[in-house]
Amino acid sequence: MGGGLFSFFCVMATLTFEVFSRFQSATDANRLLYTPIEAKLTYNHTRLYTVECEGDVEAARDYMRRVLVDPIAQKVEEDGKPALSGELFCISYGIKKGALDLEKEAILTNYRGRQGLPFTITALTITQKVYVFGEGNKTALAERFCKDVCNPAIHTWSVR
Amino acid sequence: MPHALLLKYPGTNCDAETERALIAAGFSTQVQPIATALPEHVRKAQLVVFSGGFSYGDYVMSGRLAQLETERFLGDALHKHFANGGFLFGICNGFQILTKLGILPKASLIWNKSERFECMWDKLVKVAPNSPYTTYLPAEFELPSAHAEGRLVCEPGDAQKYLEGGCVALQYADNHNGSELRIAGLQDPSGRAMGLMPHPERFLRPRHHYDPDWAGDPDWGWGYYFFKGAFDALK
Repeated sequence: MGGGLFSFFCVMATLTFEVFSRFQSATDANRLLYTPIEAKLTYNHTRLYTVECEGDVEAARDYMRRVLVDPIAQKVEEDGKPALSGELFCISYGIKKGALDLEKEAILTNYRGRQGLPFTITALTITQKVYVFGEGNKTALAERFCKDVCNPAIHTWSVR
Repeated sequence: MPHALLLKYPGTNCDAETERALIAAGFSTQVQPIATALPEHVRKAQLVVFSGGFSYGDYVMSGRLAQLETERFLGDALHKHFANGGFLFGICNGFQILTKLGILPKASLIWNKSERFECMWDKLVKVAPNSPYTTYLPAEFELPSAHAEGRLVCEPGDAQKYLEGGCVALQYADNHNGSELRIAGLQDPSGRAMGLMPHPERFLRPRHHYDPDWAGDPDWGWGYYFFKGAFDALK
């Protein structure tokens, strides 16, 4: 019963970490396609980690930063705003629910193996974001890129 | 006889060749999966080796999960080993792990400038004069490389400090991956801890060279001398 009361009063939070390279600039978007297109588009990519946690939220934030972010090579956006701007469209895709996400499992294995952490991670979602820059028919181009970037057998995706 | 402990992670794939190179140089060896590694294993070793591969699938970024799992299973055993005069050697993914463990000078290995996996032979230039690992090597030599995340980057100004402070063990002659100051291998100021992106264990014998007429050394490839140098410094 004590545990139940504790859980009831626990702070619950959703943390987001959009991690991107300090060194990687936008590059030729034809690299994402099986067949190149004429439109002169570039792309850059980030990874968005969404963590549901309860307990000591600041400790959870510190732990996730330590796991996810290399301060020498990477930057992180934590306030939920997109890390990059000025794109024609952005594809967000991740592993389907129920399919095995090895990156998620590797992170959670490390978390579960640590003793005495003052927080509990209840869910982790990893989304890869591909920002495509340039000009053209957004809908048609986004459809073309989704076809080659995402795999309907294992991914779900959205375009913004 | 100096003893080498080789830590193995899910995705490590160069442990067999690296163990073979260690044995050829004279080490007794133990290959230990990280999940069953204990601080006692580290205490028994004079050299701890991190070999190449794709630990934890390079998820998050190469070497990161291996670093976290090493800390979870071994605590500060590696730092104590180093503080007590022990040697550490990281090859390719092992170099990525060693940089994250905080034993080598602060740096990170990110995607190659080409943003592609690159597999080629590299011409390397010996820089630090005090490295036990490169004692027997000529001023310039070749080793095979195979990596996607091998571009070394540092905080602004650090690479120059490392070069001036004797922490750059090796440089690339052509710098295919875009590393700062062409750095291919870093060491601590004592030279006891070293990491490099190319694979010395893949050039153990002259027959491993791409040129069947290679005549640099009748018995051994250049890679052998990294292990031999460490062995002789420890025996």
